[in-house]
Amino acid sequence: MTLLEAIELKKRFPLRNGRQVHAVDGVSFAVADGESLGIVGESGSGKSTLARLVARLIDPSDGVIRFDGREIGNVPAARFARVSARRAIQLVFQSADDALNPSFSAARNIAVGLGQTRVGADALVKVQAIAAEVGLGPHHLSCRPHQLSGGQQARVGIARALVSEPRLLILDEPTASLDVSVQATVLKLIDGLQRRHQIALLFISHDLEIVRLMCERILVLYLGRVAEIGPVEQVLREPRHPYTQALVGATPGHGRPRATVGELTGSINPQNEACLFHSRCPLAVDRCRSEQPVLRAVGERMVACHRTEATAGLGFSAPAGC
Amino acid sequence: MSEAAAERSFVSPVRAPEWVAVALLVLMGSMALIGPFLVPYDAIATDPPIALQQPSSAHLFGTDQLGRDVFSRVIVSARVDLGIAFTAVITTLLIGSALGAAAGWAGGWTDRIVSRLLDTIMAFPLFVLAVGIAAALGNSVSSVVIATVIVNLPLYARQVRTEINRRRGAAYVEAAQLAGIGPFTIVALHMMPNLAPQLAVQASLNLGWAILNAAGLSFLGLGIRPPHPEWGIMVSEGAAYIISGEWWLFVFPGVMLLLAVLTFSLTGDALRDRLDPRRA
Amino acid sequence: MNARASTSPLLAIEALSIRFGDDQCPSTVDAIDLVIGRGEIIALVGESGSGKSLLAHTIAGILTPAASVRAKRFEFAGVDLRSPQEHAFASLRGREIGIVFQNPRSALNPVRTVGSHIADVLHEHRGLRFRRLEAAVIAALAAVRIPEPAARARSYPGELSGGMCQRVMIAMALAGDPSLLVADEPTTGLDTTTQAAILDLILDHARARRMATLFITHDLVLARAYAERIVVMHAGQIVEEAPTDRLFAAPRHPYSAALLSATPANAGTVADLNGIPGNLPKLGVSIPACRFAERCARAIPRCRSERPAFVFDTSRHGAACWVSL
Repeated sequence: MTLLEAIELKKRFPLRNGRQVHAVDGVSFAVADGESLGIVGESGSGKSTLARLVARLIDPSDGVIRFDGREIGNVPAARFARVSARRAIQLVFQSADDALNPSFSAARNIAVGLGQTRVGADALVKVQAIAAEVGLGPHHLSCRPHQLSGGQQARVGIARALVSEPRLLILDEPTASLDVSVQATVLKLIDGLQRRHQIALLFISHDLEIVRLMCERILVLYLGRVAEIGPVEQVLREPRHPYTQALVGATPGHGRPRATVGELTGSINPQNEACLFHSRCPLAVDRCRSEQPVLRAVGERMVACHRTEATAGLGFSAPAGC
Repeated sequence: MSEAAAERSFVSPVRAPEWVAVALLVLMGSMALIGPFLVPYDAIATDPPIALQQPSSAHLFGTDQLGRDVFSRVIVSARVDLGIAFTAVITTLLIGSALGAAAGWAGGWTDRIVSRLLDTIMAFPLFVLAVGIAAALGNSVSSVVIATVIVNLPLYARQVRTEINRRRGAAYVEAAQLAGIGPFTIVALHMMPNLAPQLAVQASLNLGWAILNAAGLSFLGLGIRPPHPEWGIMVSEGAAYIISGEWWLFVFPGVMLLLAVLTFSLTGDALRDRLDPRRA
Repeated sequence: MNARASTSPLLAIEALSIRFGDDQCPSTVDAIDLVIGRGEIIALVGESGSGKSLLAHTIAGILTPAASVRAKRFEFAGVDLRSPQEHAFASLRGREIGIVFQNPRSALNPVRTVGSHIADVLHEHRGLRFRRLEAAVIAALAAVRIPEPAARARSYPGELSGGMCQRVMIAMALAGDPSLLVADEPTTGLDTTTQAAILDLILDHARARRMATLFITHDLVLARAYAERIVVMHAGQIVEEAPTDRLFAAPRHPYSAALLSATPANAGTVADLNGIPGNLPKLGVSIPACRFAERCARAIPRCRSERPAFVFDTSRHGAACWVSL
C-alpha cells in the first residue's frame, strides 16, 4: 500500500540577482505503509528541503505529492494545518538547542504535538502514555529542556512527533548532535517504535551507516536530483552511480580505496541538459554534458547515469578536481 | 567548580550584592504605596509663617518657600514620579512588543512599515516630542506619559523584532506550525515567554530613565504643575535658592531622584545576573 | 631547536591534571599520562565531557586562564612546559606545534584575505617579507591543494566553502613547519567527501614531513582509518591506549568495548547496537575513583575506592581497569 508518493518534485528559491537555487530538482520516490526509506546526501543535496516539502512546511514549485492517494501538494502550507492529513505526517528534528521550546516543560513540549499550548486533561493522558513509551518518567515531564540530557531531549522530540499517532514520520538528522552512546539508544528506540506502531519512516541523514541500520531502502540525492535509489544493502555494497561510489568510498572504514572528488558546487541555475555530476566524474563522456540522465532500472535499483555499464564492480579511485 | 562558573568568576569577580537592589526596591515601593498615608504633614497645605526653616526635629527636611514640609512633599512625590514611570514603561512595553513581534514574524511590508515608523520616532528627541504633544493635547500628566511611551517604543520594538525574527526558523516553532497552531498563538504564547527575561531587564533599566524624564519635563514646566509635589518641580523651585543658602529645598529631592534611578539600575543588573541562562 | 633529530619522545606528559577553581575542587581532567613520538599519528577519542578538547588545548598552549594545570612532567622536545611562563609556549605555538580547529570559518577573520592570514604566520615564524612572502603564501595554498592559489590568496573567508576554509587553516598550521600538529575535530560539520579529502591531506603532509599528529575526534571509525595508535578518554581520564588494530580486535576497557558496540559501522543490525547506561559523573558530588564505575556492568567495589592503575602489556596495549576484559 503506497502511503506517500512524490512525483517530479521541485523547489526553487529565488536569489537577489534574478538567479534561482534549485534546491530540489525533479525528485520522485514512493514509500509504502510501514516502510523505511533513507535519504542521504551532502550539503546542497536538498535533503532538508525535501523533508520540509513532504512535511508540507513549504510549498513545492512544481510536482505532485500524494498521501494516502490524495494530493496534498496543492494546498498551501499556511492552510495545510486544517487538512486531516496534517496529523498523519510528523517531523522529528535534529536535537539542537532550538528543537524544544526552552520555556516549556517537557510535558508541554510534547502537548504541542497535539496542537495544544497548555496540557489539558485529555492531552495529559496521551502525553504520559507516549512519554512512558519513549522511556521518560513522570519526573522528566515536569523538567525544562535545559535540565534534561541530550538523549532525553531527543526522546521528548520523538514523543512530540508521535503523540498525534502519525502514519509517516520524517526524521531530519535526529541523532546528529548526540554522542555515539546516546545515539545508539535513540536509534534503537526509533526502530522499536517503528515496528510496534507500523509507522512509515523517511530517515534523512548524512551518515550511511545509520541509514544502513535503520532503513530498508535508500535514496541518494545529489544537488537536488536523485542519483540512485534501491534496497539499502545492495546500494551500499555495490553502488552503481559514480557519486554513490564516491560517497561510499569516502566513508571511513569501508575498506574501499578512498576517492577524492573535490568540493560540491552549488545548485544555482543548473543546466537542465546535463548530468550535474559530470564536472567531477571520472567516467564522464560527452553525452553526460549534453543530456540529463533519467532513472533506469539496474537490477533492483534505479540509477540516473549514462555510464552504468562501466560502473559495475568498479573501485572508484581516480581523483578529479582538487 | 564547574567550567562555566570558573570562567564567569574569572571575568567578573566583583558584583554589587543583590540585597542592595531589593532593599532599595522595598524602600521605593513603600514610599510610593503607603508613604502618602504616613506623612506627618499635608504636602500641599501652605503655612507662610514657617517658610524656609532649616531641617529640624519638627520638619525633617525643613520647609520650603511657602511653608510646606519638604519631607512630606518628597515622600508624596514618589508616588507621582514612580506612577508616571511605571505607566509609561508598561504601556510602551506592551505596544512596542506587539509592533516588533508583528514586524519580526511577518517580514515583508509589515516589517518595512514598522521599521520606518520606528526610525521616524527615533529622530525626535524626547523634549521636542513632549513639547509638541503638550501643545497639541494640553499640558497635563497624560501628555508626559504619552510622550514617554512614544519615544521608548523603538527600544522594545526593535529588540522584539530581532528576537522573533531570529527564532522564527527555530525547530520548536516549526513543530508548533506542524501541529496546526496559528501564528498569533505561536508568537504570543510560545515565543514571547522566552523573551520575557530580556524584556524585564530592559524595562527595569528603562524605569530609571523614565523617572528622570518625568522629572526633567516637569522641571521645564511640562506635565506636573505646582502646587502638586514632584521631585523635578521641587528641584526647579529650589534651584532659585542656591545662592541664598537654603540647600534643603533642592538637595533632598535631588538625592531621592538619584536613589530612585539607582534602585532600578541595580535591579536591572541583578535581574540580568539572575536570569542569565548559563546560571540555570 | 630541532625536535626531529632527538630520539627521545616529542611530547611527554605524566600525571597531568586540569582543574577549574582551587585545589579543593576535583580535577576536570585527571592523571593523564601520554607520550607522542616523532612522526607518530595518534587519535584521542572520547565523547562530550571526556576532556579531550581541554587536553588538546593544554598541549597547544591555549588553555583558558580560568583553568590551572598541574603535572609531574609536561615536556615538548625537552622544553619544560609546566611553568606558567607564557614565553615558553609562545616560541613553540605556531612554529613547532601547529593547531587546526573545528569550525574553520569562525577561526578566520572575515575582514582579512585568506592570503594575509597565511602571510602573518610566515612572517612571524619564518621572517619572510615582500616578494618572497607572496611566493611562499601561494606555495602554501598550493600545498594544501587549493585550486588557483594566486587568486584564492586574495579571497575573503566568506567566499570560501567550509572545506576550503579548513585547508587554509591547515596551511596556516603547517606554515611554521611544525613537528607536532594538533587537530581538534578538524572535519566536524564537513561533508563526507570533503572530510575524506581533508584527512588525506593531513595524513600526506604528516608522512612527508615526519610530523607527529594528534587527532582529536569522537568518531572511532574515523580514528581507525587514519591513526596508528588510539587513546580513549572518558570523563577526563585516559581509560585505554592501543595500536589501532588491537583496540578494535580486543578492547580491554569496558568503556572502549561499549563504545565499539554503540558504533553503527560495527553493527550488523539495529539489534547489535548497544547504548551506554547512565550519565557522566557530576564533579563536586563524590565521584568514584574510576569514573566509569557507575555505568559499568563489571564494576567491583574496588573500582569506586581505588583508581585503577594503567597497565601496559608487551604490545603497547594498556588499560586502566581492575576488571579488564
